[in-house]
Amino acid sequence: MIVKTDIDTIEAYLTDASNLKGKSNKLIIPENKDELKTVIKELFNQNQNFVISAAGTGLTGGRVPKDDTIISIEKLNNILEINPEKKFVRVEPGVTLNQLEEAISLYNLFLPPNPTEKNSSLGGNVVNNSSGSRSFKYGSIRNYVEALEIILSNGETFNLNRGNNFADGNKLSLITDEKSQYNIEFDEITPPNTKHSGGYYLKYNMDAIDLFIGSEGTLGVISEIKLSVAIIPEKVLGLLVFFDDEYNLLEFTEKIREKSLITNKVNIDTNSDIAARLIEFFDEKSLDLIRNKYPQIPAESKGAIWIEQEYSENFENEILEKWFEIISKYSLLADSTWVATNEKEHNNFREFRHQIPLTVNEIISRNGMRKIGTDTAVPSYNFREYYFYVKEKLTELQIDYVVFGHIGDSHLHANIFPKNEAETKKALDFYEMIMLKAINLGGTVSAEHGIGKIKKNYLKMMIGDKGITSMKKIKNILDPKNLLGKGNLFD
Amino acid sequence: MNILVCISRVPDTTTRILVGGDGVSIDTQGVKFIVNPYDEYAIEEGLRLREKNGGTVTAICVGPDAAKEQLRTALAMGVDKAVLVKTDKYFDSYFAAKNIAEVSKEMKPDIILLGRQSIDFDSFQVPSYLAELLELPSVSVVSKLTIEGNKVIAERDVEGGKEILETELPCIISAQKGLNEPRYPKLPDIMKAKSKPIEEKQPVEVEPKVSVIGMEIPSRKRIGKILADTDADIEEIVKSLHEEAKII
Repeated sequence: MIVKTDIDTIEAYLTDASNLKGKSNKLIIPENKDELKTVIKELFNQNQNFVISAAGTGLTGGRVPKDDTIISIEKLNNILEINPEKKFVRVEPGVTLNQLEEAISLYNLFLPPNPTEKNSSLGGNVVNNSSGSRSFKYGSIRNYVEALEIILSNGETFNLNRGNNFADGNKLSLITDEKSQYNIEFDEITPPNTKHSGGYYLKYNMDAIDLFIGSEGTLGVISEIKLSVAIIPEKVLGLLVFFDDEYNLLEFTEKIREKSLITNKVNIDTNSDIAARLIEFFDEKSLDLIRNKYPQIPAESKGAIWIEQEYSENFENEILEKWFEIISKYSLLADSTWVATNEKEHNNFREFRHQIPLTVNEIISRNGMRKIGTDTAVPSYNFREYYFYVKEKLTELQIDYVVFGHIGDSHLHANIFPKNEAETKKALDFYEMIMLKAINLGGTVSAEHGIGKIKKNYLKMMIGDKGITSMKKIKNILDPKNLLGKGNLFD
Repeated sequence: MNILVCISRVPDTTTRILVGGDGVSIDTQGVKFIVNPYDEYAIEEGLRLREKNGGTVTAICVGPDAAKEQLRTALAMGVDKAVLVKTDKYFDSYFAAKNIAEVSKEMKPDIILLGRQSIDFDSFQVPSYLAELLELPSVSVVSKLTIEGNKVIAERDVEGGKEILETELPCIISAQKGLNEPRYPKLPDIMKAKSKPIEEKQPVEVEPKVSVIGMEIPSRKRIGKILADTDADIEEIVKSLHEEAKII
């Protein structure tokens, strides 16, 4: 066990990718699960509040300490088992996505949802219920969590396997390995009809494991994760489609979204139709931002859509033709559609996508300001209204911005880069307007980044006092001393 | 303008390479192959020359039947014709150059373009072999190319500056990164490429001049050590700086 109390070492753990900064005077780095358990028990006996720190890539301050002792799980980074036959992996929570992907690719396996930040830890991904570009087809990481080992704030352990423990209506009964029983009676929270990472999952007859996925480190400490994984598909087609007209781009997106929701359910080996597993959007400003690096972008582009489809080689010709047909219907730039069919070309597209946030961050740090970025999603039937509202408000704002993101899930990131304090203030007002609009349209204030410490007010607006009370009730049962992840999700 | 572009089939840069059971080749199971990245600059330059001067771009590859996939990529980028000199055996740079030279003698291209090296064996030899076999001038590792009439001006990056060379068509040019920005294959071109024929030729058999006698993966020993600020650790830091790193 490593214990640090010097300010210089702790400094690096006081913030995350949100730039929110906290305070702490003690950092503990357990080197194995037993040490983790021991340290949690000690802190419980001392009534010392603590926060779990993983890779520090979070965007909402989840790991940022509020005078908490920090427990870093960075050394719990072993892949415990890769089972290619049964297609699952068991990992410690500090294993990063990069590490997992590299290890399982040797067995021709992959983790389908594909969260963007590859340096993030799997523990972080699970407590945040993260999603990514392929979530359009595969959903969030919740769908892949098969089992969790969770250490409660008093040091006792839950071992939860999916499918083994369901709520009876709104009554959950959980028993620790130490034979303590916890009875939870909850009020249901109806989640928005979108991809969503905001607060506890509370549904009648739910699986107990789902309570902990997305709980943002407030209910227990994850010490082991079992995830189901999938076989890498035989062939993947990538398309980068440029549009000369914004309205046609939106109509195209709606058409292929609707179609893919059906065709994605068909077995790849028999599917000869278009079926996108990923639909990503870049607005004109995003393209302008990277035109220097990509002189091949057609000059007339008003926006672009990146698509990936898994397919069987037998149907390659038909699928290519169908894509070309539908693209030609909506874009005069159809002939300029870029194609990726091998891993290197797919990486080029990923790099293209990656260049946008990267360039935004460069500009932000040059301006010496904070990035203001939205993570809102709305139900697809309200997407257009939401899209044009965002665009209208951004135009009024007259501050540099880009809009890009997971349009397949009606989930966009508007990134604004203010140049001074006055612009920052205006951008924050915009941010609030977008949050309220998303709530009004039945959407979410957090599609994938979580609530953490910086979006609590908006979560409250979204689920109301009743929702917050419902979550607090559970927190009170599982962490009665309120030691764990203080200030995440609610105060 | 009659343009010949030579392409090489190499493992994908993202593939993890394992040595095969024979100890002299790689285990190709699960390995994905791509067009040698430097050859993409050669293809792009060929296409640009055709766009400017008219003519035909032919891609040639010496390799197994599976190399048709890389020729398809070249066709999808816009190349007009493709030739595969088919061989399943291990071959060296001389074998490749000799066979490309044989095809060139029939084709009589105005210019032969290649990548500066293949990223599999990194031998850099094919352009020079080819120049010798065809008795043509050649400039290697070119980062800018200008052709006016028969006059060829080629720029190469040298330390701290540029070297500008002049020669005449027909000639051989090997491409450096930066020569151009290769285009992405476009959807209609990919579809068209599927129906373009690939001409197959039997190789001229020559003895290799170089053979591989062994291959091994560089060991990835973890050399980092994490030490804290306890007295024992400080002692160890001093000791390793003195005995292992030998810097104090």
